[in-house]
Amino acid sequence: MSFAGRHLTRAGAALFLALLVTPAAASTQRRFALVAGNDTGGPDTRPLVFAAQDARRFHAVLTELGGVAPADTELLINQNADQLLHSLDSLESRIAEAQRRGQSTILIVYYSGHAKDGELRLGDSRLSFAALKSRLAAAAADIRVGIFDSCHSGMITRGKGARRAPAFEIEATGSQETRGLVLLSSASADEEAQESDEVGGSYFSQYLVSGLRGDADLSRDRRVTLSEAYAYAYARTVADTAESAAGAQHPTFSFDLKGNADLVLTDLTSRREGLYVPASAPAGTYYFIDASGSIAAEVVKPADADRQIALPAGRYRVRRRLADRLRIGEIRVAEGQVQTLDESSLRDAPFADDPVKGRSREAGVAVNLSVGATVQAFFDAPTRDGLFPPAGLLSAEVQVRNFFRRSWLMAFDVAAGSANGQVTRLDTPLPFRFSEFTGGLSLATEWPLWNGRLVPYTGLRLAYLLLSRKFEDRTIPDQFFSTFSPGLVAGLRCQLWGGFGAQARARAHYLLYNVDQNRSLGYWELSAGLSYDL
Amino acid sequence: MTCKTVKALVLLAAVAGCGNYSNEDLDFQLALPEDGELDAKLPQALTLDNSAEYYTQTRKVVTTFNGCAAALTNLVDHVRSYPPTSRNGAERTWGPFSDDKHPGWQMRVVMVRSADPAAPAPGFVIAYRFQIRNASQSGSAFFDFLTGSYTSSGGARRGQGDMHLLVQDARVAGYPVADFGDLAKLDLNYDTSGYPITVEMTIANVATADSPGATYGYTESADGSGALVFDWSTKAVPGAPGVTDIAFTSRWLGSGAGRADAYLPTGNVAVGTDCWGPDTVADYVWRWDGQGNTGSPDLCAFGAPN
Repeated sequence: MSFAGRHLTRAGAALFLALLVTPAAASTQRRFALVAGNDTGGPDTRPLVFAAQDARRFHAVLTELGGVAPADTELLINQNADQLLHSLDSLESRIAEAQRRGQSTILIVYYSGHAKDGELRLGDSRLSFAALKSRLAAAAADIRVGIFDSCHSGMITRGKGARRAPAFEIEATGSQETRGLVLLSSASADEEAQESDEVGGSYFSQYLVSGLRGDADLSRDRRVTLSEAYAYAYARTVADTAESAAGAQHPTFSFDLKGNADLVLTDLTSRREGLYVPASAPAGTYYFIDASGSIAAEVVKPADADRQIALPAGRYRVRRRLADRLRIGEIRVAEGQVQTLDESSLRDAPFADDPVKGRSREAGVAVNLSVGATVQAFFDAPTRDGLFPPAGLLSAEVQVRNFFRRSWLMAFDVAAGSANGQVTRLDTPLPFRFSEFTGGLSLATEWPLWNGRLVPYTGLRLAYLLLSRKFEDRTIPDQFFSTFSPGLVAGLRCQLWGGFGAQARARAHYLLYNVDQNRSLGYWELSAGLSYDL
Repeated sequence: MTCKTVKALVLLAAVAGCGNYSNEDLDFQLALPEDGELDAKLPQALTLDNSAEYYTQTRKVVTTFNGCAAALTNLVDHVRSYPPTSRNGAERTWGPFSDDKHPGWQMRVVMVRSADPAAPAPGFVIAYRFQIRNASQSGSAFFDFLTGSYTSSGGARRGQGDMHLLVQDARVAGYPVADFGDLAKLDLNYDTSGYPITVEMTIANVATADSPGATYGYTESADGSGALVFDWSTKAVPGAPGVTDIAFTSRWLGSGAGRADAYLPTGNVAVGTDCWGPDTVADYVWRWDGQGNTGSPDLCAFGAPN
């Protein structure tokens, strides 16, 4: 299993929550979804990188294309088992209400996270597969779909109808209303569910989402059914994990359905924005990377066949991997339009420029050195005017990332500077030269965006300050003050080229001044500088 | 936690939250007159062989005057040169320090700032005491060796002040004061808030001294002109039986030209006058006994004193 830098999933997904009127939702069928992702699994587990992100992406595709109204979804990120069950209760109440109105109902439950010893691990809490399966089996919704992307999740599909197979088929010709339970798992009962830096998520969830966005639409009817999505995710997951260190990962399914209609999970006709890969484009796997640096979708394009996927409006980077190089480019999907990918707009690039590969670099311990300029001033005007004047400092900082844990930043910094100041005592202006030396230790958490090219971070800092002043009137002795000062730091690091980057940073600190009397003071700092990855 | 870690933390704690970075300390440090600020200033720096006799006498007195002022200001130099040892509200204390010159003795300076509505802005008075104690004697308390006060007006070190050197008290307490000769007490009042600057000094000697003491009054104007009035008390003036008090009024211009008049305060009897030019050479000399009289009083920069 490889790891990638942790990402917050795109906040932009929320922008699409309002765009959810689909034919399915407009009909008498009403869909409900409980989507949960949890990166942590308590003791004896290593934090996952993409579980929460996978949940957000699955939630996004359901609300964009899956006919699930935002009001009928529950998105749980890093929540515990009690909260999951509570949300399930809430949805079931709404399902019962819908059924009283004569609506047929579908409940989709998705979970991405840890599982071990027959239990889902949601942080420090646990929920057994058996209990959850029983809960789904007994739920009132006409169709219940459970999708579990976790290690050993195949345990939940054990029993009647369970299969580890590339596909299942539900005849689509029948008129009888479909009812029952479908369970999909990302791995067999004895397999690990793997994440990948390369695909920017767990294999299974990533392919499931890509398939739901259109790449799994084998029938070319602009609708992706449950069986199509599963078949697509199964094939891609097995193929891509076959050579992995953990071995091939085999999704499984079980179903207990009555009726003869396949379940349409996503309706691409409900979405007017998307990408079209024409038949004339070279065959291969195309990755479309969104603004957050995550793979929004991938398209496996055969020769002489076109492909179309639904994607929200926005700018996407395109990557197609060849044997010796990449073909990369950018494409913009405009609101309400399907953008055709033009092969001529792509360019050759070495593997080093892989827009996704940078994620892998960040996963390990990384060190960079930055130098810059800092402006510092105290909030209190009298202090600023007559005691500690605003000063400019030259600063240097060493940042160590992913040392304690992924996406955590530890930084050591030093800065020195000076300024001219003046204090008036006894009606006499006393000019002085103010000097300052600071050293600091920061601990921050960061949220890489755009494949790590833009990294905001925020955290805590403990600084040591040595402040001194030398008066022009040399009969007055030099003065100094030294202290520790706790504070907050927020910054933005931007990758420029090669190992170089730019940084901007703001700090706010508390300082206890105790020479004449105890006074609580505060000061701010703004910094900008250049950094280099060592 | 390792021993090294503990040591490091102790070291960090030791350097945290400490220092002398203080605006209020400046008030105390600026309250004290600096060495030279209370000096009498004669324009010329030298005395020539043919300088006027009273000019030469004036310069000698100026030297004595400035030496006494320096004795006072030097005592409190620690306050200007070092941060306070302790701060307690409106009180600052420097020391106690060991008296390197007199082993076994300690000294300290205590300054107290107090509001004084009658004082000019910023409206406070700073009182200070230079104290000494015999540290070799257990229970020995500090006693005042020098006291003073300062009321600010006109800027740093500008204002009204007084200083009192209590040599006799120290002598009685056993403090070695041989450097001060027959001096018993030295009082100094000054006003440097604006021109004319005035400094008045009173010297009181011990009873066994040849001279009971002297008084000095110095005035300095913005144009460099000045005046020094000094009055010596003496047990006996040679050649003048019954005379125990002689006074001089010496005045000068910024150019250096000046005039000095000697007289007996009792009855205000003139006994001599010298006038000199910028070169300090006498242009006019008059003595009550007619010895060496020369020149014309018209050549004098000043008229006779009132």
